[in-house]
Amino acid sequence: MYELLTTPAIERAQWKSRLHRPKPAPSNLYFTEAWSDGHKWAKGKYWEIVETAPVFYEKGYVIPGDDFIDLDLSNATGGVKLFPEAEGVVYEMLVGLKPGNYQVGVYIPGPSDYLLALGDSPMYPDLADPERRYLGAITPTDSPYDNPLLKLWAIADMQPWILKTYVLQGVTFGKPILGFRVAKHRLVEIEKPEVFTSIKYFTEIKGTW
Amino acid sequence: MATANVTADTTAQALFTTPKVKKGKLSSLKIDNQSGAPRTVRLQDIFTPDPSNGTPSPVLTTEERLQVTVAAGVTYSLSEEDLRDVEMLGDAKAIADGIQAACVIIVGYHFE
Repeated sequence: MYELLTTPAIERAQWKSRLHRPKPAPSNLYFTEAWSDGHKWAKGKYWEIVETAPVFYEKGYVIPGDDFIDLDLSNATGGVKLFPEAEGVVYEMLVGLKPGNYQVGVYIPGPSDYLLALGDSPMYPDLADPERRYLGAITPTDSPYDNPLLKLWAIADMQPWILKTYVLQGVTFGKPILGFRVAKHRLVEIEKPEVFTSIKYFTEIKGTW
Repeated sequence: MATANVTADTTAQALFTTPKVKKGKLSSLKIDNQSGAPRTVRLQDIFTPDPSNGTPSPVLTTEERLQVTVAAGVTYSLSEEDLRDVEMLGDAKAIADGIQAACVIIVGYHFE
């Protein structure tokens, strides 16, 4: 569901090999039981990727310093429209950030619903707070444009991923540029395989814990 | 690397337009002022920001990125190293304090 890859994965491969694709590459997926009933076609089932098509997209925004935009990646009106429309299809997205004085926070399902926080109750990201605005933020160093490490999964009618894109205090204007490497996967259901990738629902990792 | 070449003018002269998903980076700047008077040249970056949380209805904005005064008969140059932190987000233009065909402004640039 959400993954910020760590060092061993970086050492193993360049970004293309971080994406699943048909056999012999890693191709088996499992949507956990935590997925909502709105996604019954996928939840609790095992799938094999039988076809993959990569699609690249870039977006750039000019934003004043100490200000932000909420980038809705879904197909909603005003969204970036990076979600599939049909069942049996999953999009695996790597998000790379060009260098600049900005950061990205991951939110789902609404612009106030942060994904990443820590255990103590006040330890959640808050752009109005001079300290906690940096909590859980992903910078261009964390997921470089040419070596993207931020991965998001999306299926049809899923709650929207929102990237809260914040230009740092101290610059007049910034231009965050985000590169999306979207791998469109066509799936067929299979029996439980020996090896598979679990795609968790956002509720499994969200919040303070 | 691309180059743009304009002469000094009191109306902003277009150098290049930065694509929406790129930043314009200057690789070189040369101002050859063979006119009989000093000329002050400014490089402007003109763009309309995207609607943001703090500014939902943005307006056309001009940012001054560089200003140089070049004496009469002098050729002034800046290298890529000198221009490293100059970024153009929108339309790059040059404007001067006088109209003078003998004062030529040449910029080298690329997009990142």
